Amino acid sequence: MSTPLLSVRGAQRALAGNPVLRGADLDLTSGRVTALLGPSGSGKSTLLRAIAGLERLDAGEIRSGDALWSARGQHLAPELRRVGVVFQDFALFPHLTAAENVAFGLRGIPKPERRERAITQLERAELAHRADAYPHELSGGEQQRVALARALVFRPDIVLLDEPFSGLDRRLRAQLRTETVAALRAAGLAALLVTHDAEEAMEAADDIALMADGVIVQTGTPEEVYLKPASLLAARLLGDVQTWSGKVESGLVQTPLGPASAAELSEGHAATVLIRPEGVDRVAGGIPASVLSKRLHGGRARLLVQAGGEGSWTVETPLANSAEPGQTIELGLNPMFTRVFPD
Amino acid sequence: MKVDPVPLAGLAALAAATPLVAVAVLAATGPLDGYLAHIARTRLGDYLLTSAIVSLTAAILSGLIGVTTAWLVARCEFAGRSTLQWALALPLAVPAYVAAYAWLDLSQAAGPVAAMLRDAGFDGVAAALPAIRGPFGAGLIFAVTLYPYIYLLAREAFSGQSADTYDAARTLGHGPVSAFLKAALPMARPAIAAGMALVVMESLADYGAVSHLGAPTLTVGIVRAWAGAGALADAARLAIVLAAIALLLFSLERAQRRRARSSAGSGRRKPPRRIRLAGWAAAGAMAVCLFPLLAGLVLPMARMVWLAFEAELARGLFAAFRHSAILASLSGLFAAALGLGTAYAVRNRSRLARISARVASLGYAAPGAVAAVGVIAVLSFIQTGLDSLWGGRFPVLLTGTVLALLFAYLSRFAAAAIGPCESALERVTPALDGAARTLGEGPLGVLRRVHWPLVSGGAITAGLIVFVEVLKELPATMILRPFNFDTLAVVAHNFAADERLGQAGAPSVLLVLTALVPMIYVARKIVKESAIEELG
Amino acid sequence: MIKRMLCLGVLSAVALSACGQSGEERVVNVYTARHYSSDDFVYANFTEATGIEVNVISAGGDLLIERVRADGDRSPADVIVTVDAARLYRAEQAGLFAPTDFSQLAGTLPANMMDPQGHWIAFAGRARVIAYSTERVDPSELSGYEDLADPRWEGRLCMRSSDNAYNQSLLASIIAHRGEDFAESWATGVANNLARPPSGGDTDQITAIAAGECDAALVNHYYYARLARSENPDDQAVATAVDLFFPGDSEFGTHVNVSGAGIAANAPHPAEAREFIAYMLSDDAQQAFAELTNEFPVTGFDGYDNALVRDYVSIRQDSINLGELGEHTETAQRIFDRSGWP
Repeated sequence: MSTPLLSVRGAQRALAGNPVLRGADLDLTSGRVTALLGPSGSGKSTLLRAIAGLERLDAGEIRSGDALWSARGQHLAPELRRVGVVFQDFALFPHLTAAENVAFGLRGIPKPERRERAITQLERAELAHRADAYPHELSGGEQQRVALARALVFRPDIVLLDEPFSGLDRRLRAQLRTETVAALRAAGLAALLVTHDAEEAMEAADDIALMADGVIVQTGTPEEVYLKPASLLAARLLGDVQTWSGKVESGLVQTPLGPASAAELSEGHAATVLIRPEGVDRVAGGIPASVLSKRLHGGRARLLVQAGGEGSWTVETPLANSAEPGQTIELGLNPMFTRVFPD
Repeated sequence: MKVDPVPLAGLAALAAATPLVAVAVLAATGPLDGYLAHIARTRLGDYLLTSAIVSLTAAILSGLIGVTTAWLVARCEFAGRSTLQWALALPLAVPAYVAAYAWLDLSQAAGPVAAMLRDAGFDGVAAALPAIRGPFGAGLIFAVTLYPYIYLLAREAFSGQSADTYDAARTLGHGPVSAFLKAALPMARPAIAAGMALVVMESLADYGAVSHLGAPTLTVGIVRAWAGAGALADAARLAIVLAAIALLLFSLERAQRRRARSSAGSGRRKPPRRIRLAGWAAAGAMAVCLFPLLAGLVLPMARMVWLAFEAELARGLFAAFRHSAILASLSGLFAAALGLGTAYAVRNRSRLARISARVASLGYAAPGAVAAVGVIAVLSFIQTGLDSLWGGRFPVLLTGTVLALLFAYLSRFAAAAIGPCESALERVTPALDGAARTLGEGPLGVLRRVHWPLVSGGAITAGLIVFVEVLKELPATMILRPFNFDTLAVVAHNFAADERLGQAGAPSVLLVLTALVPMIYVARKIVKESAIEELG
Repeated sequence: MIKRMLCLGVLSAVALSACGQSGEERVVNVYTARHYSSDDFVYANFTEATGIEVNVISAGGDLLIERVRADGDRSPADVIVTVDAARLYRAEQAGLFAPTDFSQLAGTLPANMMDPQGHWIAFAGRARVIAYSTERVDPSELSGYEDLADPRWEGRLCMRSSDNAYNQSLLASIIAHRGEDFAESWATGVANNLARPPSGGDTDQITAIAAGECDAALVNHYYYARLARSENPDDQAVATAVDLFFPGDSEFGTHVNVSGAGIAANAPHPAEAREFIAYMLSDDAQQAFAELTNEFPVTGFDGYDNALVRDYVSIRQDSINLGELGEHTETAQRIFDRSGWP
């Protein structure tokens, strides 16, 4: 990994007396899209605004290369940072046309050239024909593309996107996400995508930073953070998990679905086992479980089963290898999707 | 560079509040000579009853007119709709006292309509013709001149509503009327209530129309306590009661406006499509929309024009027009600046600013003549201060200057200026600031390139509303103006007070025409703007 | 420093204020409650005759009093003119007038038309009289103001609101002549005889009689005179259908109210003020009042062209001192409040 283009260290910020950032660390690297994932209220947007220069820091620092952008008592004005930002509600200027919106950030260039560059940028977004439309005349998807074009047109090194797809419907969202990420990668810049949607983060990002309560709890590639969550909290941020509490006995914790490996933990220690729905496989000779109900989930089947007489579990299986309610199936844990944390 | 608008907000509040404070001081310190007890035993009940009848009649009728026309214009398509949608706001340019003069003259037994009927041999019909006078007549006059407040707010609410709710009601078995009453109307209720509060407030503070039509409201009682009994302190006390009622209405209005905004919802709405009317339905819709326009603007003005042609033309009309235009333009400019400043201060979440903005709206709350006495008191207080600072006679006597008039107007109409600026500034979301900053604009550049284009419309609207109000204003203008400085309203009033309605005709018509020009601009702009928002 | 800032303030105030007054010219500042366009003609003649410029502010009498009082010794007012004796009284009570020796001006002026202490002097009169339908009322039926309270008039009277200053001064004179109890029963009686709730002005009451809404009303004489002298056929028709009754021989005579003027206590131009008031009492001005506004000349001047006014003015008038009306005005209003005359 090359050296980061932007680094945030120990960022702290309180708003109206409430600490929102409590020592966040984050790196952005050229050519990579980093997703900042966390529940609402975790401080994602504040961190983004701090990077953009729209929010000051109480402590910690933000650096870009050799330049110190933010620190306690020090603040580089946002207009001097040259960071592209796509806002959650797009923040298009209602009194300007699409082309004028895109050209807004182009300064010190003759007017005709400004318009030309804006149109070129709109062409890349296949929106050249809407150049003279006002924001209220554009559809939601078109507004988003104009907002992105406006953030990219002055060729910033860093682009920040604040929940850029949240107001759009599902299909459009998937399409725009693909387009947007392609555009960001093509530009070779460092991008930060703030989202609360785990699926979106994993699909779009090269790196994911998990944020909770004002700190970054884990950073890594999507696979790393999904398969090896650093904590229960981190695991929950990325998808459905079910837990089981037990004690470590002979390097194992026993669950109703079978033993989970806990080799690193000391004997007799209380531990929590974390099981993802896809972490339970049908295995011949496994633990018998009766199927209570069946639902489809993204082309796979999710079964609600009862095993060992204790509680119900969600199991994800391929549709072709599914079972019907009332049947009894045999199950075992897949260690790849199972993690044990000491209590 | 950081521009701090809070002092401007404070200035607006100071301008608006001090005259009322002066009135309160008068009420608190003036002699108690028993007039209050006397009036409580004799006329107070009647005053309150008449006030209730006048304001309720005005509220209900203007509500009916405003809501019906708003619905037709917002949700139906018929010939003339696009013109009517701004024309319906125009009766606001007609002072209620002018409409009252014209309508009493038109409708009374000695008037032209009854005379025509008698000439045609319909004596019975002529005798049965109801004259527009008394509390109900006054209510009617206020309804046809003030309904635009409700119309404008309700139209915005109706066209901002998603068509989904209305359609849902239709699929659930409601006919068009029932769906309107059950689904569309409740959502527009806050807007309608806010408009009604304005109608009630203005009709309660009016003096000219109610005294001419014989509808003695509390305001008449206040002027009478002062003019007749010479009990200025007791008049001030009654005025405080009126101000309290107005304050109550004003906070209600604000609360309802907030609800109106929140009930409009956020997110992307499906713009309502208009129901195309044809044949009789279209003719009926047009008739319903033309009625208030005729009653509030066309007929009273036609009568004044007619009378003006019969009488000899008053002299000095051009000078009066010039004076009116100067005063109205200057106060429009100042009011827009103050309004913008206050709105910015409120946006910056300064508590002081928010209180200031609310205090500034108090100016609306006192009858004009009482407010004028308050202004005189404040000016004389300032004069004393200036004289002692100067160490002798300060070279300028404040009363009788254009400055004094501007102060009086700002104190009275600051609220009218703050409102439009605040709502214009609401369009400038903090995200727009952020967007502009990250695109390389400094704070001043943001003001110039983003804020000004977006709020200039609101500021212009604020200025023009104050322009129109100042044109119509009478008591403060009369007593605070410089020597030999007639305005159109003063000339019209002088002739009307001398019962020369014919000669009052020309200045009245000129006044309304002067007010109509900016009214047309404002009305078209308001309508266009919300059309943009409903698509967004 | 403060002075410099004040200077700037002064400059901008002067720039904004429309009244540029130069010190060389002779001027008189008139605060008047009169609002007749014919007064401009009188002022112009005054300026031509004397070279004194007239600066005018017109507004309601009570507002004028408040402003002069608030301006105190800074007040630029030289002459204060009101159109109602009660307002003259009130201004005098507020100490706004400088006592002046009007004896040289008074000439043929009736004694009741000026303040005994010289605070003010009347210059034009107006009678409050009974307008009646020539069709439905026989003039022999009419005896005076007091008779209007008789139940025989039930449902036949049109009246202006009791807010009206002239109704109040009429009731004040009834109080002065007949006492409060009588005045109250009179007001109550009249209120019971109303054909409709009060609305509109005096002219509206006259046209209502012509239109048949009622048979009689109390009005100021000049509104009728204006209709009678109008060339408009509609006005002529009204004037034919209605006539005026002056209670000259009965009761206390015809009730007359006045336009009067006094010199302001802090007048910056007292000499000019005196000349102005003198001019108001000149034959020229008296003629203008009689001819242009149909008001009564008060000096006994007779050389005007208005037969109607000449007839009216010859009828016996109430000789009560007008200042006394002011003393009773507040009582009059309280009586109106109790009487149910809205």
